[in-house]
Amino acid sequence: MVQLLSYISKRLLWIIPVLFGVATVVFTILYFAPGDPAIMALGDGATPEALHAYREELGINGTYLERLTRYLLNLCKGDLGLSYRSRMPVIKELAARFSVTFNLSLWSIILGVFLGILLGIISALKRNTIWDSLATGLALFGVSMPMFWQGLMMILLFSVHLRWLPASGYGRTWKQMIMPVIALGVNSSATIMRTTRSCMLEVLRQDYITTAKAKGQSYGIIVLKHALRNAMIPIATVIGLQMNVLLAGSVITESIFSIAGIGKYLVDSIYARDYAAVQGSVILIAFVSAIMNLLIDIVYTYIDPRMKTMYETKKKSRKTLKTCEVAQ
Amino acid sequence: MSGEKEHMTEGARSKRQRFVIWHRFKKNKQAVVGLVVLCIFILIAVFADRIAPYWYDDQNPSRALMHPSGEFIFGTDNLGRDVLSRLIYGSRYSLMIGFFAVGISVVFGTILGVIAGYYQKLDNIIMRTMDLFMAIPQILLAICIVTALGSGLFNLMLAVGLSSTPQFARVVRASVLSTKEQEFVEAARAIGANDARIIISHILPNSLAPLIVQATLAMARAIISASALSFLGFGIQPPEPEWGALLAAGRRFIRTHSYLTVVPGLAIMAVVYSLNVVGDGLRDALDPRLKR
Repeated sequence: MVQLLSYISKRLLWIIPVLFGVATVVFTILYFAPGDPAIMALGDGATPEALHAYREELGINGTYLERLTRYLLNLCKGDLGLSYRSRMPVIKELAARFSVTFNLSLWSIILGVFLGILLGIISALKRNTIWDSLATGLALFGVSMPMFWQGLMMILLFSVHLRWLPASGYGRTWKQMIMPVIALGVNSSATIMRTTRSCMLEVLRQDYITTAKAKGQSYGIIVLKHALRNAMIPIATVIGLQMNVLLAGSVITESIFSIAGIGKYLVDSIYARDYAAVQGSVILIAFVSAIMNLLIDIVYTYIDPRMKTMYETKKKSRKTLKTCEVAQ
Repeated sequence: MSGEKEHMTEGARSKRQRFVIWHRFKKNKQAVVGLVVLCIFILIAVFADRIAPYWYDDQNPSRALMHPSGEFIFGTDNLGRDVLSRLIYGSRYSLMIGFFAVGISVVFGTILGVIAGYYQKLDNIIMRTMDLFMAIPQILLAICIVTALGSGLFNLMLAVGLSSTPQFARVVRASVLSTKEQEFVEAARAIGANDARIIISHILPNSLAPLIVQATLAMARAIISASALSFLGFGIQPPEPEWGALLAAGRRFIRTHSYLTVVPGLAIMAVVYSLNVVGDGLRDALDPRLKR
């Protein structure tokens, strides 16, 4: 138990350098972005004094190193700087939009996990039958379909032709969430399905499955308890990776369905050349996905006793438990 | 049998190996279909100016927004340009971006992966840096890079390519680590081969299989990312007929002229789907142990 706690705290602590590293990377990339925000905001005719005052206010004066240090120091205090557009703290603007994006991602991952694992199990159990080909074909289809096109096609079908669902917006009725959640979730479920299938096939080959069958264990228990539970580690890894993809995918779905979340904020900020807001959004998304991945890992160590003993004995590396390949 | 194998020349052995791989690949019907579709798209891209009935920016207000018909199979857009011709020219962009973006990530990823895998001292620093880049979701990293560089074909390729470099570094490093300990590497070192020679002629050829598979699948992802960026307005700008940009332009007319959004999406999907099945087929053919 002590080892497990120390593992968790180590992972938690590791998030801090990752956060600062990500902030440095994003800051450095956007440092080279064209356009002077002061001139953009005040116009060509502004006096040098006014420009200087504006830069001072937003903290975008000085050399690269000065600005970076200031940015990282402010980050420690949870301050992501001021938005160039609104001159409001970026962190406040993000906080106002966070729940929307988080909600959408959460529902999408629930849909993706449910659909992906279900189809994955079915196609592994019914291997080489029509069901298997159908499910793998669908998954391949899902992986190959660009999310933005899928969203537009749903709008075309459900909003324009059938008039069942509203084409855009968020928060008025639950109906507005259906299409964005499907657009995000279907994509993830395809990846989760592919991993589930290959991991289940690997596990179903093991001797203990034969043993369980031989002693007359019921089919459902064999599948869920003996097989799925043992195939879960790589699947959990993929679910964690998909969390990142979903949070980033909000950039696309929120633009298509005009949802005022972090993704749309990020895109609008780029159009407005509001780089402070862009930096803040990217850092926040990276931070949240790091936390989510950690949570999945921790939850997993509770579900799978093998993981727990692994941290307690520290003998095996995590890789040895990966029975199959993780789809990307 | 073994004697025959020993007398086989280097060339004959690799030829035989290629034959075996092709034979295994051929058994996967889906992958073969994918390969054929891909070849067709490549031909379309290469001979775009011969096949396309019109020039991609051939504007004519008198035939604006005409629905699909015999003359214009996929209709015309709001400026009266033939959608089919724009799609045909657009295949050049998607394929080129896919190819060169992945080329960039293969080159950088291989260099970083080989250094990390071969030189123990640099392993930690390179891979931790890669972890940082991987902590930023790929599409966001690409958006940041393209924001800094500005839009345009070359910058888009660079953004997509650089943002998927860390994955390649990982794949190459893993296979270098497993090859490095093999006996033939030790033998090469024993006869006095230097690091460069060991890496180029002994380690890299053995990392080729996972690299090829990864590259094919990454090309599919690169095409989706690039068209998503163009769709959002950060990539290829109008009037260039990139497929994602076509979708973005057609979106305004989705209620009345839906073909403008349906068709470019189908084109993207056809290419991406083919790349995915070919990638899966290649993986099964190159590494039969993974076949299920």
